[in-house]
Order: sequence, then structure tokens, then C-alpha cells
Amino acid sequence: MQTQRGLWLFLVPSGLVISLVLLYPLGYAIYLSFFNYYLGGQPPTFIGFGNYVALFGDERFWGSIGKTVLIVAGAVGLEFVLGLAVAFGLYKLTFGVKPLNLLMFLPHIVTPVVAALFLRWIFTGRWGLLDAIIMSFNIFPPDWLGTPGWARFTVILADAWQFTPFMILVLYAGLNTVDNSQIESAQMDGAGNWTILTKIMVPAIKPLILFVLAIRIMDAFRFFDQIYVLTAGGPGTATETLTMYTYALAFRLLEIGKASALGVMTLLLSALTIGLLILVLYRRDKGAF
Amino acid sequence: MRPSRASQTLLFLALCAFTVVNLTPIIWAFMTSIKLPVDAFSVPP
Repeated sequence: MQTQRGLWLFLVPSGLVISLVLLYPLGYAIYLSFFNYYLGGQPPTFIGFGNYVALFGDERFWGSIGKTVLIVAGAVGLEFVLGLAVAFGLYKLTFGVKPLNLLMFLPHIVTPVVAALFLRWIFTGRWGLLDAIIMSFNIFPPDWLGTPGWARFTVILADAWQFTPFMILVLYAGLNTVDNSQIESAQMDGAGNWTILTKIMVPAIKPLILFVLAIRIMDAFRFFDQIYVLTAGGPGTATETLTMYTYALAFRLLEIGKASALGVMTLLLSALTIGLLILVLYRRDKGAF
Repeated sequence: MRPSRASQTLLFLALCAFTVVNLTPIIWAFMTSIKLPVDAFSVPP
């Protein structure tokens, strides 16, 4: 018992690092969010919740929330459906699984900015690869990055391209942990692949699904680099997510206080979404929904 | 229950097709990197 008492000392180095790189910036952002602070302007003045009130009345803020929710839901939904389908395919495959798994994972190890550059070459109007392929069939392609709807679709595809491999890897590992005897007895009862996947495997890996969805949703909420390279939030503000708007407030309009308030609200929104996800996935088991 | 050879081959081909589509941007970027600028910017690519 006496030796265990001193163990907390081992937490001190990591605790210090976490405080320095996580808690201090977070605390400072919360602190700045209560100030009217223009970079290079007058000294900051305390305005309480003024920045938050201003954001609630800002049409561009509500627009960026809508676009963020659309892009996060579209990208994570597509990644999950595709990831689960491919992971189940790999699970059923009896040969060549390892090389396929390895090759499928390659897009995920590309740096997001570099990946976005690859994709911009592909989606560029008229001389991009995709347009060349489509035009070879005598079909006139849409302006992928220049039309609001298609630009959002392209951004969702870009995120899905890079992060579906992560989903495949985690879900495939999860499917392999499902008790084989349950699957065999279901097969003997005449259950098909769809029934086995939805009635046995998915419920069995629910904690893992929650984990992977939570990770991806949190990640997608701070989706910035690919959008910055692909569309820079445009055309107009068609792909301006919360992080893009935070960037614009902080580094274009130099409104540091308002940008900090937006950062704090993004954090709260992300936490709220994860909380709801946990509630829906777990409370339903107890008959609450 | 053993899966049939035909279904396994079909599944393998489908997963190969997905992998090829998935790797297209990387392959294309690599192919562009070994081209001369005049060829890299030619229309159609």
C-alpha cells in the first residue's frame, strides 16, 4: 500500500506535458473568448459572453454549422457503410486478404494536404483526370470544385477516400473477434450473410463501432486541411465548415476573441454529438428508445 | 459451410476493383511525377 501511494509521481511528467500542450491552450482560448480582441488593434477589453451572443446572431455561423453537419454526416456515414461492407468482404474472403488489406490502407498514410493535392488534380475542371474520363464517354461533366453542391460532394468524397481505410482496418479487426460458434449455428439455422452481419456481427462489435464513429466524428469536426487545399471554403462559402470559419475569423479578419469563442463552441458541439451517439447506441439496449 | 470457389473469386475481384479505384489518385500522382512538365499538363491527361 505504501509503495502504491508514490505511484502518482509517475504521472507527473505526462501530466505536465498534457497541461502544457492541451489544457493551457484550451484554457487560454476560453479566456480569450470573453474579450473583444483584434490582433494588432486596441488592447483586449472584457465583454463577457459578447462574442458568443454575436456568433448566435451571425448568419455565417449558422451556415457553417449546417455545412459542417452535412459534411461530417455525409463523410462519416459513407466511410462507415463502405468500411463495414469491405471489412465484411475481407472477413469472408479465404485468400489474398493480407495484400489487399495492405494496399487498401495506403491512402490513409498519405499526408492530408498531399492527398488533397492529388484529388485536386483529379477533380480540376476540364483537364482533371475525372473530367477526361467522363468526357471520353461524350458526357459533359459538372464543375466539381466550382459549383456549391458538387464542391460539398467532392469534399465528402475526399474525406471518405482518405479515411475509409481506417474504418476498414478497425472494423475488420473487430469482425474477427466475433465468436465463430454463433456464426456457425446461425448458418446451420439457414441465416444468410446479411442476417449474420446485421443480427450477430454488428451487435457483437457495437462498442468498437461506437469508438470508431466517435473518433471519426471528432476528427471530421476539425476537418480543415483538405477543404483548404481543395476549395478554400468556396465557392463563396459553400464548403466553409466551422474550422474554416474559425480560420477566417482569426487569420483574415483578425478577430481573435470571436474566433476563440467559435473554437469553444465547436468543442461543445463535437462533445454534444458524441454524447448523443453514446446515448442512442447504449440507451436503446435498456429500452429507453 | 465451405464457400464456393466462384463466389470467392467474385468477392476477390470486387475487392480488387475497390482497391484499384482507391489507389488511382496515388498511381496517377506517381505517373505524373515521372512525366515531363509538357506531358503532365497535356489535355486530355
